[in-house]
Amino acid sequence: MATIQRTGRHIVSDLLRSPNMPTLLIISALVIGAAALIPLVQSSIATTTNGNVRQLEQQRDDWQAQIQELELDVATMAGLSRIENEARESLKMVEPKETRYITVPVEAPEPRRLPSRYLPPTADEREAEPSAWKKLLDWLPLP
Amino acid sequence: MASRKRGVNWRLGVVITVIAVATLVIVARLVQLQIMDHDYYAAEARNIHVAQETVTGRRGALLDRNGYPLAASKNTYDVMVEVKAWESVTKAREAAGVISSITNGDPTKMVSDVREASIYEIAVARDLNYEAASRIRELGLAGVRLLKSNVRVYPEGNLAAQLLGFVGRDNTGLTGLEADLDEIIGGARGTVVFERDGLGNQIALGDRSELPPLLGSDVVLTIDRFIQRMAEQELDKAIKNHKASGGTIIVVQPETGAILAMASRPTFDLTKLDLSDESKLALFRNRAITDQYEPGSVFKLVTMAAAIDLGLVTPDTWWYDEGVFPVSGWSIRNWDLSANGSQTVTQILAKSLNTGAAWLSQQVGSEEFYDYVYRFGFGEPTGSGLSGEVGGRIRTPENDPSNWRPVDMATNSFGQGISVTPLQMAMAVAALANDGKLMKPMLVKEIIGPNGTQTSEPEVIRQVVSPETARTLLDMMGVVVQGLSPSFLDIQGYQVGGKTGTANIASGGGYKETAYISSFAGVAPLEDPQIVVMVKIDEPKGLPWGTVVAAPAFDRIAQEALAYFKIAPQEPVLVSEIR
Repeated sequence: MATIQRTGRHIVSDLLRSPNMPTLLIISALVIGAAALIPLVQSSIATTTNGNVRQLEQQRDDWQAQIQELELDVATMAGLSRIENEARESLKMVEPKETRYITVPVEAPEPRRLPSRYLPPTADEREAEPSAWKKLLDWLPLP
Repeated sequence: MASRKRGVNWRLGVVITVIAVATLVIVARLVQLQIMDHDYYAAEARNIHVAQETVTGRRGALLDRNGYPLAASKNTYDVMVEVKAWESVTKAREAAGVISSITNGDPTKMVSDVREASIYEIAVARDLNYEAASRIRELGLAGVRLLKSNVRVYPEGNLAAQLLGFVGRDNTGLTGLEADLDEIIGGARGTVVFERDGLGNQIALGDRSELPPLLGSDVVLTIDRFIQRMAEQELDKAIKNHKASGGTIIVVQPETGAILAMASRPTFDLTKLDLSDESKLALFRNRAITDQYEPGSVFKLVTMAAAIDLGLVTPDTWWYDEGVFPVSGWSIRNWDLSANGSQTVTQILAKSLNTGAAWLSQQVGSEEFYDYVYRFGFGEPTGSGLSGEVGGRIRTPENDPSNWRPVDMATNSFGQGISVTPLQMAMAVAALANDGKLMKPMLVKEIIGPNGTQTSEPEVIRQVVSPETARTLLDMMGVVVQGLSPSFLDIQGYQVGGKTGTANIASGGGYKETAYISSFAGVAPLEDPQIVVMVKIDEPKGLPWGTVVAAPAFDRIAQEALAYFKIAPQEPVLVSEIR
């Protein structure tokens, strides 16, 4: 009964006092196995992270593509021919027969510039942030 | 017992021999694969596992002076198919069917194109938008990948087509500013080399090297889309009304030399480019800089400026017009064969008397006369930076002593026998409107690149005449306009100046019988010039006079442009004033 009631602590201390070869082999195998799992887990995490990064990059590309296409649409909508056509056809506007000039005591407003963001980000913006790949490789314990 | 042992040994020997031979065969094969044919198999493996992708850098945009895009780039995608992946006809048809349902292509042609290709991979669809490309990507088809590219789009349609030019399929500028600014806006291609999986996708932790593409800079032009469009509309209207064969309108800001508009006809459809028809190649050239013509009476401004600047005459100097002016055996006559009697120098310009211009050139003398011609920028390209620009043709006693005759200078004085480009003429008149300073034509206002913004500064080429002479010429141009019928030129509220020209067209050593070039060079407003407009109409039918054909275009352009630039008119037309 006394043997049955021995705790794990006693087993470890017994083992340390008189090492049992099979047990040591099993423990060694477990340790080696666990050690072997570490790079596997690490690699798995890296792959998962890479997958997430790719997904995020895809989302970013999605948004950039949509922004780019929308801003080009805005530029096309701001085209003079289209505006004139809309004015004539939809709004039934006609050219004035008489021009009236009125001076006002303020400077004329500057023409509004279209956003230049209808194009992808400039190299500066891209270089400011290291690529996902670089981040990933920096994070990995590679030589 | 002994025979049994011998039998065992024999069988063992056979087994060992077989194993040894098999081992040798395997080793030999390994030597062949790993050592002898190493390079071949290594290359094969690289071809299968390593992909190289060219990444196109975004081409910069061409923007008008207010930032509105005239030509911009849009990302597109080409569908690339690895030829080996479609070796099975059934699989190829299946994949082509799916791709064509998205691209609206012909699946049969896709399959045949891929199967007949002798290269590693081939594009089966080009210039897809992002949505279509995403749908194809999501299919995950083996051996099919998307190659990023970009296409040129023109938000203003065909505006300034010849000036802007166009790009080829490889995104390299072929004509116009697209070609001239190619190094600035073109960027540079990059390369990505990576290991890939069976579907052609990049392996997450595989080898990868990247040479990133360089982005092209955006270029802000001096062209104003509003003025450009107006110039093109007026040019079309003048050509239609007078059944002309073509023409050019240039609008310049005299103080800076900035080109606000440069329009030529005939032109081409930038949005539906057709390079297959060689007969249309002539439409691509920018006639404002490539075509030279005899300017006619507009050139009298140069003769007049030279004589006044040298102090030989004043606007009020009298001269007697007998209707014929003899020059070394030749008779110079007026365009209407008139004899006008006593005339001032101002009247010579206002009535556009050829005899008077010939007389003035004689007063100036050939050396000084041609010196002024060159000083005004004729005889050499203006330095606009546009490729294909010609310098015109001037025959002088120095450059052609055997053929030059005194009568040449007499005819040159009223713009015949001398060839100039519309841009040269516009810049020369702009010099008069800029206190006598000839400016270098400016087409690029800013370059917005990855390393910051570069701003172009106006560049003075030389002081051609004194500011006083320039002012005198402007006043005389004002008198010229006052003498024109209001039905052709009547700009309410502003004082403007100008000079008409109606020139014969040189052909085969002589002149065409009934073909003319009508032109008008105008300045507005006269007291503080903001724009110079050069209108040239080729071969109008009916009355060919510059007053009738070209001046009305100046009238409308100047009227609209002055209001657009918010230049207040003088008091009489003001309806009210809020203070």
